[in-house]
Amino acid sequence: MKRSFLTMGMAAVVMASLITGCGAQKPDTGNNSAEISEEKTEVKSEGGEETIQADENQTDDMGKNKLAFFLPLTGDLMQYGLSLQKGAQLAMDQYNEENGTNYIVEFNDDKGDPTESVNVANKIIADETVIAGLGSFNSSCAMAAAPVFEENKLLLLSPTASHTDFPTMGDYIFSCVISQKYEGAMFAEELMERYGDDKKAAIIYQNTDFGVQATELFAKRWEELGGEIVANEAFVPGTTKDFSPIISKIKTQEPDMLYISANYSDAAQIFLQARNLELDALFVGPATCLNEEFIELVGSQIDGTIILSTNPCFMPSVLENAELDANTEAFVKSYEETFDEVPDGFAAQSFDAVNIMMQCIEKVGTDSTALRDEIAALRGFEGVSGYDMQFNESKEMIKGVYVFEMKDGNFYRIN
Amino acid sequence: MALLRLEQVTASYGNIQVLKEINLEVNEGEIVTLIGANGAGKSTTMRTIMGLKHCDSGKVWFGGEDITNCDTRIMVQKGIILVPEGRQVFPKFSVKDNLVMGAYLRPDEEIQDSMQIVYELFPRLKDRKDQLAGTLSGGEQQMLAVGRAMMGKPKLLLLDEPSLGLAPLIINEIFEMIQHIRTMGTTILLVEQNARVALKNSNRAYVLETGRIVLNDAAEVLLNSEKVQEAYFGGLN
Amino acid sequence: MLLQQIINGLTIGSTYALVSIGFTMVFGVLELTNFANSSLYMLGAYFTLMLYNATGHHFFVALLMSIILTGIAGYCLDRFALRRLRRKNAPKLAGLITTLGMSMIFDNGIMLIFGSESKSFPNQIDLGRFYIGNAIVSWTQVIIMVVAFSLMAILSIIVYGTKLGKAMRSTSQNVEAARLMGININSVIAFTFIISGILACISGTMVGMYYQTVDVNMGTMIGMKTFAAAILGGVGVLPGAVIGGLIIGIIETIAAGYISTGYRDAIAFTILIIVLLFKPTGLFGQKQINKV
Repeated sequence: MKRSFLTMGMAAVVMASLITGCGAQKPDTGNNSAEISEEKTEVKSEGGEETIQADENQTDDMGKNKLAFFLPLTGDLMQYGLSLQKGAQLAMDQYNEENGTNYIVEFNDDKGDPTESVNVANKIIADETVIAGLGSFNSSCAMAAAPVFEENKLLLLSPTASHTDFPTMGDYIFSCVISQKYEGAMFAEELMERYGDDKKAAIIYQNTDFGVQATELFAKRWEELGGEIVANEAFVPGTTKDFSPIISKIKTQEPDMLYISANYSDAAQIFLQARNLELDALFVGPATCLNEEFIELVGSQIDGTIILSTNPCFMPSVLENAELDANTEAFVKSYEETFDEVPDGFAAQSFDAVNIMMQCIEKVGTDSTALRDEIAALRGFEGVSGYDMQFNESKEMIKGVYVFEMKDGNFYRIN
Repeated sequence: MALLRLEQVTASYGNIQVLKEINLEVNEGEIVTLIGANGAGKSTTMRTIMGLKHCDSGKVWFGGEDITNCDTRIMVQKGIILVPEGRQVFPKFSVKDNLVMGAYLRPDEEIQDSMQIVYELFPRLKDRKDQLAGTLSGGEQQMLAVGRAMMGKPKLLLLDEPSLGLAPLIINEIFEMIQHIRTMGTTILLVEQNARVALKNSNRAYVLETGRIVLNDAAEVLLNSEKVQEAYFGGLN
Repeated sequence: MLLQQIINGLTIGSTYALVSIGFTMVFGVLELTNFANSSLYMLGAYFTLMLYNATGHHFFVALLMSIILTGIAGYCLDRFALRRLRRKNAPKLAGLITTLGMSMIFDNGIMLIFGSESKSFPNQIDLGRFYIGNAIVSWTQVIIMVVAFSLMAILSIIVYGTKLGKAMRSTSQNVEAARLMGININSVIAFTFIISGILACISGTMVGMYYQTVDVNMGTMIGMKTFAAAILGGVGVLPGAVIGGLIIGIIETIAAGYISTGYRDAIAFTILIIVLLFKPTGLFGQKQINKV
């Protein structure tokens, strides 16, 4: 008796979890969880004019008026997908408002899964109203979908895929993120310019593809510029909490500078412990530290630390203290008004991606080949996710470096 | 009134009934033996009395009180103590510490006196009082197990196979002790495979066969019974 | 640098030792590998953090409440999961799997409530540092070691000097004989789990203070290490757990300093294997003396 009761109870639990599980995993491609962008066919217009259907005029001769995004709207990377979505939607709405057009952004969920990205990519290329594809958030998804776009000669612009091989996957493949190839070297140049007298650098990096590549390129450029690498230590991210052995070892080399590549929680540990062990050097940290949690972890204990980034920082404290250029200020203001929250770097990147696309479309129309050439010729674009943005001969994005310094537990931009 | 009474006690392991409506009695001051072949259910009977094994039906009475399926702790409190099969001393404790454990539920002040009594009963234990119990010989461990049980001042002492694995001389020693304990006022119920020695040293006996009591008489009678001799003495006398 | 590494190793080693003790005690008394022990460690740290924020930053009140809560968690683990299995005479494996499952429940529960990022943890004992030769020693480290060793001393007194301690030791040697002495086995076991919880909680809190962060992986990381430490020292033997914890802490710190951080865990476990090859029962383990 008791046993069958128990079995029934368990069956009920299993059923319930299956149902809720199914529910959570089945958003249609094209639907998304945010309230924004419910519409695919309506357009925001001022002054209560007639609502215009998408099929009517104001699309160009080829009938194309859509930028199709694919990004993770569900799953682990959901929060990033949502940021990208908001930035893109804002950009498109603003563009349409200013120019009286009714271009559409469509958002498709790839769940952060490369297999799904391919499915979605296929759907996008079959849609004749699409001018170009944008996505995904992470390199693996973007790279999975790239061949589909390349084969069909449809433009793919990723706002955030950072893998160095991505732009090489085809003529129609672009990324808005500065390739790692250049980031490390640019940081080295920036540091050498500012702190040229202190030539001995010690490196601590996380033992991932990203960490290895980033610091290798930094080290190479640093030495080319006349600097010296006195230590180069790796660690396994996420499993190491005790960095004192590495730091003690580095201390014996008497470096002038400690340069690290790590996620923000490991970075916080390294810096705090280095301070406790009285390592007397300039601390230089990665862009992953530019968030509230990092500040919470370190407080004002590591003031004087330098953070280098190729993306601006949208933390409220930074926004208050920095002098923002007009573009960024407008972006932040309208984002706050629309979404009732401060934007983050990812929203800024997709904002720029959409604007870059629209700028090129304005100049040459919607023909893919013409667009491709126009984008490749991008120079000096002043975006909200970077300044002086351009593509080089290999279709790789280059942009300027931001330098932040920590003072009283806050980040201050010093360049 | 009997000190201990089992009334229609039934116990099983899974689906197999091991004890089938056992009825037995032990009166105060007696030594009663339960004999039977391997697997007859002797140890199970002891464990059921002691609360180590669940009793499916029937009752166990001690001093007029119903103690069926009570926690072992309560049995010990009431004065029933079991010396388990295989001695089961605490190997990493010294002889002395083992004895102290026997008096776990007794007040600390009485421990010293009880220990004196046990040392008198088993002088060999006194000689080895600081030795680790795991290093004692089989016979010494048996003495220790009994001594430890005595530390609890039992009214009823249950002994499960006290002669198992011991040399004949030692067995005699053990049973002399058992007699002595009886004269000290403790009632004894013991279970034995070595039927002859057991019967020689008891007042009454029960014969257990596949979970049932088949014979029940004065020990002498059973000792001389041909049936019992054939079945349990291996034909020798 | 060697002295510095040793001091750091001793500090982290003493936190390992505390958790190892709880683990080895449960094993001794129940012959059960309690995988949930490391979860209690993380639970304790997070409880302290939660209560610290909830009580308006009264650290020691928070710690006290956290100790009680974690002790209760340890008790519940036994009372509601393991005791039933004992009553039904379930095979030992069932108990082991249960602790594994409970460990996942605790770990994921914390992750759901707190999120998977590191959280900042207050360091109430940040009283500065001083030098011994070339090595920097922080008062935090000193206090951690003092607390750890005091707890170990207190525990030794309980286990070797009190009646309850004797009951625990008898239970770990022969549970049926212990029962026949009138010992309340369930109480003894419950007590062991509560102690495990308390020690794990204090250790987790101290490690939180030491690194000034807590994260949801802390449990997993320490689980393997304390398991290894207990085995290294001889599982079920109290001083063994202490020595095992200290040795692992020192070896992995020195390995990280002189060889490579990447290999620190590998080296610690290699040492464990080597010791076991020569002495399978661990450094202090004894062969079972059980003549029938």
